[in-house]
Amino acid sequence: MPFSLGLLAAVMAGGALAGGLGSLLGIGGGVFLVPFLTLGLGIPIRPALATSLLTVIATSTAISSGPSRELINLRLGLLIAVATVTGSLSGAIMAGTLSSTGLYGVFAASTFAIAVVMLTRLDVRNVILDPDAQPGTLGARYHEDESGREIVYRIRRLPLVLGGSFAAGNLSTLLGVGGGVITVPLLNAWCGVPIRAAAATSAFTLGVTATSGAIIYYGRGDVVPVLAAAAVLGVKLGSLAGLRAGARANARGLKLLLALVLMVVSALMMRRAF
Amino acid sequence: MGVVLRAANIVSTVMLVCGLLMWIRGPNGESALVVLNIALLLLMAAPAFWLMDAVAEELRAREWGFAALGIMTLALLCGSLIVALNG
Repeated sequence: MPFSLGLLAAVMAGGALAGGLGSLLGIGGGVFLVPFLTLGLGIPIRPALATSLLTVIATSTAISSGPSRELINLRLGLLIAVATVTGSLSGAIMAGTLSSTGLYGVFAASTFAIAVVMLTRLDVRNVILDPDAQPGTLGARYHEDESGREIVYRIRRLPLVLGGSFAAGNLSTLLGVGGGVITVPLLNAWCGVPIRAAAATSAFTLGVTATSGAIIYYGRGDVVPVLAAAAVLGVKLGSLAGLRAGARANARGLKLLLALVLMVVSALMMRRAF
Repeated sequence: MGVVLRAANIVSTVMLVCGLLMWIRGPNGESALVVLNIALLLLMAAPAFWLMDAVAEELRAREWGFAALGIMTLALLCGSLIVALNG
């Protein structure tokens, strides 16, 4: 595949934008990068998917080794990772058999529905007001700079967490997205996890999930090293900016931004479906 | 967990920058592609490293159930490797 310097610069810039939004919202950024690479730059779908998964790993690594790591709920992350990696593995096996048109349609409808739910729950905080309350086996507590309070939360609807995480892992490999676009709203809106903890925990598991898919794409020869390098470096730069912005943003603003991003993603996927 | 991730992050970033600069100076250079491939493999290995670290942490805390979950995820990643090697 021939590359000009201009194309590499465009890939890097697109990666920076995707990385910034991805780290701000904990959704990986692949959901922006795949449409940009395929629709915007005309790069074939498989190298675009492989590149996107590699950038998801880069975003995840940046978030998990940065200041947000204290928000990661490691035990919940380990539980989710089993479901997402299983989903990712099944996605890799299904990749050659499913109609992509139908898949894009389902994805568009799901993201639209999640966006609507997020918008209806903008002012709902998933926290227990008593700081001495016990978070349970999978819940956690952390200090929130925004309010200066000790935040305690418990996990609700565990089967939904596992089912949604499996679907997220499956779509991650099929569509080259991080899967956080499903897990962050799911954890926040239905399962009782505050938005910042949901984003950080999701980012932790996304790296593992994306690795599962990226290994398979790499083994099949779909990774174009120069393209991937430009995108990953762009994403790393964007992630730094996103993490700084995320530390200052309030929870309501993050939820609103996530809902808007989901609407855009839904529209993009719907366009690809028809 | 932070140390392993930061190290993998820094080394892979430096190698990606070097590889890309080498490729720009001489496109299609074999050595540039070798450096880029190693950097990407290191990037892909990072989550497995921190998963191992998480498993070790749970084993130290005698939380056998969570340690088992981590080991199960590592086994699934090995499954991906097998799928990849078989095309």
